[in-house]
Amino acid sequence: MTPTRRRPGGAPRLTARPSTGLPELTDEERIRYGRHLALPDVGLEGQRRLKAARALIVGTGGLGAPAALYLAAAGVGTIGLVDFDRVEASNLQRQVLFATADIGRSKLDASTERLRALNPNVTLVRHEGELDAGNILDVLASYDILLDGTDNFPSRYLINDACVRLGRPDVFGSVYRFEGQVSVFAPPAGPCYRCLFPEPPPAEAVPSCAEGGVLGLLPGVVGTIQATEALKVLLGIGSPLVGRLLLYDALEMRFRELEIRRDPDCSRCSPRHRSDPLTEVVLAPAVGDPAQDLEIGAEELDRALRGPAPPLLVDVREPGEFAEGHLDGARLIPLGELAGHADELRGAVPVVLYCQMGGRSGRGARLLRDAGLTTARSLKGGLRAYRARLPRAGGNDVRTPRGAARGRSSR
Amino acid sequence: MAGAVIELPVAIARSGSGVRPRRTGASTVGEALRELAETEPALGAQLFAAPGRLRRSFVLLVNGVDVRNLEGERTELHEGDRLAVVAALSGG
Repeated sequence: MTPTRRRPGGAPRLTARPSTGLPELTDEERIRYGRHLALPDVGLEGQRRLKAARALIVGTGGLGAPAALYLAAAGVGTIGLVDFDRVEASNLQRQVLFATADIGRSKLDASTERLRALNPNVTLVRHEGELDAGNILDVLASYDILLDGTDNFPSRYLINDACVRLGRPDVFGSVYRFEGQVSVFAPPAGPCYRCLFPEPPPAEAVPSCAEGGVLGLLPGVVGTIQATEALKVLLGIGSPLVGRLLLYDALEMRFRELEIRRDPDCSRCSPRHRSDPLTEVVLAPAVGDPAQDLEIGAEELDRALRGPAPPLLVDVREPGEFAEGHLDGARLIPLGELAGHADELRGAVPVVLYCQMGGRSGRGARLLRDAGLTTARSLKGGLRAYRARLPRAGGNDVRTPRGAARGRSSR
Repeated sequence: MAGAVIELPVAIARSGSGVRPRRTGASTVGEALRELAETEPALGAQLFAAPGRLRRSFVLLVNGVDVRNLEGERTELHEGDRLAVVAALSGG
């Protein structure tokens, strides 16, 4: 067995919190954290260090759920949670913070209730809404470390850029189908996310977990590793995944580790770009796509739906996703069946396609345009963005009766 | 065919023949990728932003070392080498 070890004395700490003035533990906490206190590498000082620590978890889904549970159980004193979503039945296959009775509730309501029940000593800070270039620095500033549990590239690049700007470690995790990736981005000690992946893939090459599927256990493994890394960084012990990308292949049950290095010309963490203003990453359309107006924003769609000639809404997700909630009046035509419906959609009112995140509907809109429906458009950011930007958008957001009732009863 | 082995991410491999890993007789990383794109255009469209220009959302490794720290796409491949393509994942 490889013993845990403190980092070499000369290595810089990844978090700035001082070791003096740490809070004392109560008698109840000494009992609760007894197994930590017995660990030479944690002990009383380490547990007090955890009690003083502040961790921000962005997204309480597949990755954020196990990470939040273990950080709360471990006694991280303050945990910030960022989310704007509601619990859906299809979340329960992997998002272990939530129970069946939580369907329809705000994820922040459900997660804070669960975490408080697990460990009432932890202070939970709710950040309801979406992080963007205008607010992320203010939110992140009061935390020591961030755990990225988001599910889209624009958020991941924004989080990376904010962490670089403020000097906070970004404990990164991501999953797709049977594969997972974990790393700790903490320049200057190691590379940032942009050193590894300078650019996101184009929109059409980004299938979501809703579309491509994900093994329920996968984010559990990855999120738990993220929590492990966060605890190590906060405690200053062991060798965090700085400069290393851990790859997990659940099908082959294989872990591989890649050495990753800083890019001296990185567009974010190199000295000349470190203070650049934050901007939101927009996934590029397909190469050669001439359609500049292919996407329609949430606000513009909302205005059009309330106008004299509302567009025909087509939901291109799968029937199960549609049943969990869709826009009022939308017609369900899964992307795989869209080509067969092009003729009947041609000549109708303008068509706006949407899906969960905008990837499938973007491909659908291009497909319809190629078939001659030159005004077909795709909802930018999908249903996710629509709900985030227009949380009270009239009666357009319809949920299953069961979910709606539970949502109301929780308030 | 002897030569190097190419390992592709599950999601990428399935846009082509689905075979992973696969063997190549190519002598460089760039040649191996071009060969892949020619024999399986759907897979090539995932890997390349334009002919000869690999998307920057992939990392290429030969025997576990990022080719950006070697000779890039000119990095030589020899019998038994493993060329791994790592794709950025966003799911959570």
